Amino acid sequence: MFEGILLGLETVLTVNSLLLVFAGCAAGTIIGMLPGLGPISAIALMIPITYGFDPASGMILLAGVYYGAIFGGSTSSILINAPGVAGTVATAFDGYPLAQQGKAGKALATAAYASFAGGTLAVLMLVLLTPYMADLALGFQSPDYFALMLLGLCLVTAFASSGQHLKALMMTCLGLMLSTVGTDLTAGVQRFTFGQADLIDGISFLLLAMATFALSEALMMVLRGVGGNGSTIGNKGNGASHTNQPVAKRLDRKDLSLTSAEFKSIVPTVSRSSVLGFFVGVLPGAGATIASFLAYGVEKNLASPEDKGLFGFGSLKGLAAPESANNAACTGSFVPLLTLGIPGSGTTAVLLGALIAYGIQPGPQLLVDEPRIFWSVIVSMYFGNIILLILNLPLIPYIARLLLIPKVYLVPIIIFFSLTGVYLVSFNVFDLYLMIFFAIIALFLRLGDFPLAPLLLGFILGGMLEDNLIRAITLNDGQWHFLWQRQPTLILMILCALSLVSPLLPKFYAWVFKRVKSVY
Amino acid sequence: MLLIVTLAYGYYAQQIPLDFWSQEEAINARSLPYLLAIVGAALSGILVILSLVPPRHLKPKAENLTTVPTNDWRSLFLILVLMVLFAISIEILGFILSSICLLISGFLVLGSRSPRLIFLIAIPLVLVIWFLLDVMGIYLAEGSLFIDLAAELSIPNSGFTPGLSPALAGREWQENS
Repeated sequence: MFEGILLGLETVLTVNSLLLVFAGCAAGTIIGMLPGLGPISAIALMIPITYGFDPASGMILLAGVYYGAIFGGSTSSILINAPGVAGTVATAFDGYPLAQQGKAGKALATAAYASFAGGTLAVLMLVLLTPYMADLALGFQSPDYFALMLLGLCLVTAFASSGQHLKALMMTCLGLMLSTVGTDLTAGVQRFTFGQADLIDGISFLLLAMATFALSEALMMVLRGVGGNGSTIGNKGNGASHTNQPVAKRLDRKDLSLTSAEFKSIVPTVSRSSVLGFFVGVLPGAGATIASFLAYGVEKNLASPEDKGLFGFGSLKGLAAPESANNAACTGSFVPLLTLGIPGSGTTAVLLGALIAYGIQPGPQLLVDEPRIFWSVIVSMYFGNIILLILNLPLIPYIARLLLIPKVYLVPIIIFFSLTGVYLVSFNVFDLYLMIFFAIIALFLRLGDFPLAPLLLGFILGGMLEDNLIRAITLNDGQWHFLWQRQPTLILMILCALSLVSPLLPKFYAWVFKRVKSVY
Repeated sequence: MLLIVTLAYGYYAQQIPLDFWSQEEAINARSLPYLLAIVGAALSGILVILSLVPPRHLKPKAENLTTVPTNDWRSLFLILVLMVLFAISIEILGFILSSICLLISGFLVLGSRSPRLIFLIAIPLVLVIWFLLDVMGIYLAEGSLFIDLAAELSIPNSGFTPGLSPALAGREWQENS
């Protein structure tokens, strides 16, 4: 492990790599701060740039973008009550009231320190846990991988927000359907290409990611109306936009300080939330959103009665808990990605797509075959945290002014970057038409309240899922008994079934409770 | 709509060509699409049924009644048209001109009325991106319109291919010759 860390340090502690971490964090912060654009859009927008890099450098840059985007999302949550990503919604609960009380600087500093601590603790846990997980996963065979991927897809739907489980499942299915477009690798026959030569290689994941996130988000902004300034974006019509503008304008560097008492009060919260966030992040499908809400809930329950009353009205603990949890969860989501090759969230699904595009297959073999990439990504995360803290904290007052960019200018620029990003990879106009088509579909799916992350996850896992299924069936003479023959496969399949029925359990318990109550 | 999509997917799954040996195998190129079509049809069917059933215990909230978002379909349609025009024009007018046109017309469609800001954002942004791409070795060819015009006026064509910087293209030309 120590050799690995040294290898990672050797790769990251070069001027080039540190510049990439810096550039990634800065770009991620700027993009993530723009309401509506989360880490998925930020990474998708940056991928075309990384195609010219070696895989380790590309991943270092993208990991920096990921961190930066989460941090940037917190800034817009605190300053204008417009979370850039779902993972920072809980940040706005106490961050925005603090900003309204004239403590925006304090809130941003708390968020930065909590994110740093959460990220750092999570990186330590990642370093300790990942090699063991990779060792464990080395014993996995095709049936286990098939079951594991199925579990990842099922968990995404299980963790979908209330009332959206069926829609998430439908989107996963749609993503899997899209993954079957192109040439079938086993038989070499074309599927769903409709005679189009441009579809023989399948649909590009970057195209789909850009269309479903960056471009459809921009179209959604157009549809919802772009009148007024940038600060109105994503405000969900709460009408607070005009009063929010001065918060971003009047922020000063000297406001960004915490007293030692305040600092001490958030230390236990940050520690607890970081551990909780990391383990929630490790679960495929859970991610930063669930981690941040869970940490907020736990801290609220653990708080003293007088502290509890402050939650929702500007509590520093209420701000530190989701911030440290979402950053720790981001790091945690790298565990299944790096050790099993299974993305735990939409964002890591895009990162998985990027790795595959570089010619790297994530999974337990990554640690053996490409230790430089494996360890440099982990080490770069730690440096990303440091850079975010020492660089972004003093720059926040200036970066925050980006929130004042009017949407009238912002939206066409997002559209321009999305279209150009896809065109630059293939130099194929057909990809642009296809991207516009998918963006329109994604827009209507958004209007129908369908979650799009499961679609992307299904699309990226689809190829590997089918590959492992075919391999497992071939190895078992065309029989399906591999699903229960091996112990790990059986356990994973049982977990799949449980995760599928889990959304029904509360209703079932309520029904049983009602029946029991009526009997007695 | 999703039901129609999954049914169409299932129909086209039947059209996937299979050779004799593949047909005999337990799993082939049609297997997963069939499975997905069945699951997709079942799920979309359930979603259709659930959408027809009125939700119980749901009281209309006063705030929901007043905050119905108004959709700007006209601007959306115009932006989509601009995106399609960008796709059509990028190979005819070239990257720089088509991008500047997309940005300027996008700003205008969305309501910007400041010519100074429109030009100050659109033109430098596109030129900076073009310059950065060139530095990274990604050269975007001039539009076919200009290549044709140059041919008409007997100006020697640069012969650059998309995706290659002038320096790399020059090196390639030297090697070829």
